[in-house]
Amino acid sequence: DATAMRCSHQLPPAHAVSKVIDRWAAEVETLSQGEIDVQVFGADSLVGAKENITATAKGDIECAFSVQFQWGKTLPIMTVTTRPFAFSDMNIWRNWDGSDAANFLEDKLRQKGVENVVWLFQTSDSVFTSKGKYLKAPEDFKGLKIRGLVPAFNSAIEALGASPVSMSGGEVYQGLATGVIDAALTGTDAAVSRKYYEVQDHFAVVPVISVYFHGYLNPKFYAGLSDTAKAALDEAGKKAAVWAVEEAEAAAAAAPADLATKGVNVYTLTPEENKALEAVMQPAFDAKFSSDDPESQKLLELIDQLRGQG
Amino acid sequence: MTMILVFGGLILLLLSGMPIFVALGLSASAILLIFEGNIGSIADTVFANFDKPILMTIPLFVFMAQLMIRAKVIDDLYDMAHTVVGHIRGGLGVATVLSCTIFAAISGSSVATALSIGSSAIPQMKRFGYPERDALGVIAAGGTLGILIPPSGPMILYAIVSEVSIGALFLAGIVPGLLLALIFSVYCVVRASRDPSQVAPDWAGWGRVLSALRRSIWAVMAPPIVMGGIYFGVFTAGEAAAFGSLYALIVALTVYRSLGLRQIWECARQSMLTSMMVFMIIAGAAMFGHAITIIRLPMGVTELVANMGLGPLGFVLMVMAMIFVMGMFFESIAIILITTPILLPTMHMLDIDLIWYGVLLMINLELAMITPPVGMNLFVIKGITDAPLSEVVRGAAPYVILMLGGLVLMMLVPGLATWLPYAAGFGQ
Amino acid sequence: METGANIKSKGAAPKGAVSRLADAVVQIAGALSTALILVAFALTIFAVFMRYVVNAPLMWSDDASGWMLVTLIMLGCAEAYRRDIHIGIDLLTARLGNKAKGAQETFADLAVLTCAILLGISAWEAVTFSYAFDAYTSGTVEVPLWQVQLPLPIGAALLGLVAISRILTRLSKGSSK
Ligand code: NA
Ligand code: NA
Repeated sequence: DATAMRCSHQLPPAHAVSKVIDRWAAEVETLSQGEIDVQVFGADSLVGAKENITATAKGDIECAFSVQFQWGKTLPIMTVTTRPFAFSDMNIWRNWDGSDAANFLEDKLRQKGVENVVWLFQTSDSVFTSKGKYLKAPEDFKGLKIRGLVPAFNSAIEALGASPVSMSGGEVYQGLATGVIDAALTGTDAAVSRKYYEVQDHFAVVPVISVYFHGYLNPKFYAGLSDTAKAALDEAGKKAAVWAVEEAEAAAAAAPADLATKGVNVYTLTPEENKALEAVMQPAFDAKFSSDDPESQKLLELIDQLRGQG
Repeated sequence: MTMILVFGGLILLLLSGMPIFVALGLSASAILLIFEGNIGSIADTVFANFDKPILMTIPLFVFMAQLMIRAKVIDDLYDMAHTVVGHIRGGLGVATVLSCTIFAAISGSSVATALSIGSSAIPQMKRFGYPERDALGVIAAGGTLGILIPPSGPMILYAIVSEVSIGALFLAGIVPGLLLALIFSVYCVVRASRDPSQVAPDWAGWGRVLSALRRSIWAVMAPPIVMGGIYFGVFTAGEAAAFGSLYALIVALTVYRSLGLRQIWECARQSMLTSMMVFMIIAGAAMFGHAITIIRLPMGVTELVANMGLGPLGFVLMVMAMIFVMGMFFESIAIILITTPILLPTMHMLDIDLIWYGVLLMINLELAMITPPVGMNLFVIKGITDAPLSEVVRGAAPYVILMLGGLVLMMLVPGLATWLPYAAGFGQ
Repeated sequence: METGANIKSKGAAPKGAVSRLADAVVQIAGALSTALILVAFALTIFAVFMRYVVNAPLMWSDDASGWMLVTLIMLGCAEAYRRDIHIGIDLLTARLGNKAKGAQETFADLAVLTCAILLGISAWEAVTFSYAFDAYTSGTVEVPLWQVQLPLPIGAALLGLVAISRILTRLSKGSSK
């Protein structure tokens, strides 16, 4: 009979990545010929976003999906794509699964104590939300309070003259509504799903960070699976990586229009405007995030190989 | 079968009179040991449920209430209420419903409301001869209004899971929330008028009303100041508890001059001890919820209901009945996260208005707080008084029926919930 | 509400050394918990002041107050339990006679002890795992996870200590009669 594989993630059911996870789960069940019974628990309903990594590594659950930020200082190399404006080339993500760069990170994860099985790219299009004016040039950020992200990225926000504010996800909507914070940075899709358009009126689309989720298993659980099941996970992972990029590209194409239909102002930054922000943000990020250590250098080189391969 | 064992076992442990958090924790451990072979995850679950800055509002709101009680600010407030509405039978009950409504709206937390209003109001209501059981019931029920009247954490959570507009939901909660407050008030008046033991004093006259108002002005100012702070973006709803406490502290130190350092420490100690009761049960409920989620018990039941092939109204009725039963055992966050994703596809198929459903869900979750055996507000009231739990349950029982009535009313007249958001331009 | 006083007045026999030590430790933990509420109060006001007036938001206050909450709960729960401030369902037990009541209370204390032991084991596993895994908190402040989880096993131990002390006190009371 089937082995239960409980997979926890933080996304609401209608989220594009959440749908890819459901498709992936069905694919794993089919390809493993019923050996694995994938039980997906979304929206933090079983284990919270903060606890997914340790719960899976410890074996309390068998599988989880996390966004890269969640690794933070636990495995800093996972957060390399938070570097402002460095990974907006979609070729990186189209060629990602099975690449040397991906294998390099999978090795790191294995050493840390989880077995990576699927990479789900989410977006390279973020949006700065604000009230009254667009945030498109460094001087637009002066004196604003923006919800913070991770330490290295926060220093990039500070370099723009804005103040990052730490605020739990559940309070952001209300915080934007009352003006406790002035602006937020989020994915274009999340700006729609989290209803920020109800409380903000200017949305500047900008390829500032790349966001990806990845699914990983408890190593002991993985080792106990049959070769059929392992092959099924491999195959389903390959397919899901492609679905995720397709979904992301479709969403990126549709999101600005989606936002516009909500009656708010949407603007996509020009390459020159991106360059101007990059010039301020990247040095500040690099100063905080030691991207000059040999491991990060190696990963960055491997990622560079993926650019331009059509 | 599993279900009967799990819930039967829990009820037995609860009835043995052990602390509720222990009954919940032991049930959770038993489930995990039987189905998982280890209890590995219970500590992580407890940690995850406590590591929430927003929960700091619970001790801080109690701290505020303690400061106002010890400084005798609350005495003046209730003297005022008694002077103004005392000549109306049940007037004090109505005043309490009103304070609950305002406090609940601000704090967004039913537990904080029941704790703060309860610890200050119940002794006062007794002081003015209000029957104890009625006082217990009205606070338990009035406190629940916090999640229906915006801002509301559970509403935001439901909105994100169901992809409904948060603003629309907030608007949709206003009329039903006020309507429930009105129903509670009418009930207080009707009940008091039928109780011959309650003698109402004569109208005190404008002179005494004005002087009572003047004395209570500092207590009356607290809600607008806190509300204004949230509205103008000075602080978040979560930070309001600290500012309420700061305000109470300033008033106590400068206007009433009735507090010393020792009393301030006493207030903090009392709020620590009172909050612990609540936090322990939150921990127990989290462990229990985690254990039965991991064995997919609530999912199974919800899937069963979703696949029954009912029409829209029958489906909503069935779902509401199911959530009412779940609400006897769970707290609101778990119910939202577990049921909503499973029910959504069927609701889309049946073309059910998700804003309307959201309001029904919130009323049902309010009910969950005052239905035994696991009802957070019942426990809170029991904790801050010496009354036996059975007395609190009995006091709250009429309100369970009133809220069920309100739920049915919202089901039959969806416009009560949906009119305001649609008029404001949502949902086109 | 302060039913802790009732327990003391009931106990004619003096408390044993173990119980007195347990009381002292748990009382100190309770005082720390109380102090943390005042710290959290001051910190929240300070954080709003820095954000709203100085326009230099504190990045650590939100995370810190979550961890402070974990700490103050785990330090305070044993003191609340020692003072008998907790909620149980008294539907059936309210009618018990003196002897049956004693047995019921011992049973409840044993249940608390069991629960404290289970939670303690699980918490200790969590702390040692986080330490071995070298896990950090995620978010705006990154500190070793085991450090913020440490109050859990400590709180479970304090709770177990109170349960043992209550059982011992009741036993010695019974034998001295
Ligand atoms: Na509210
Ligand atoms: Na209940």
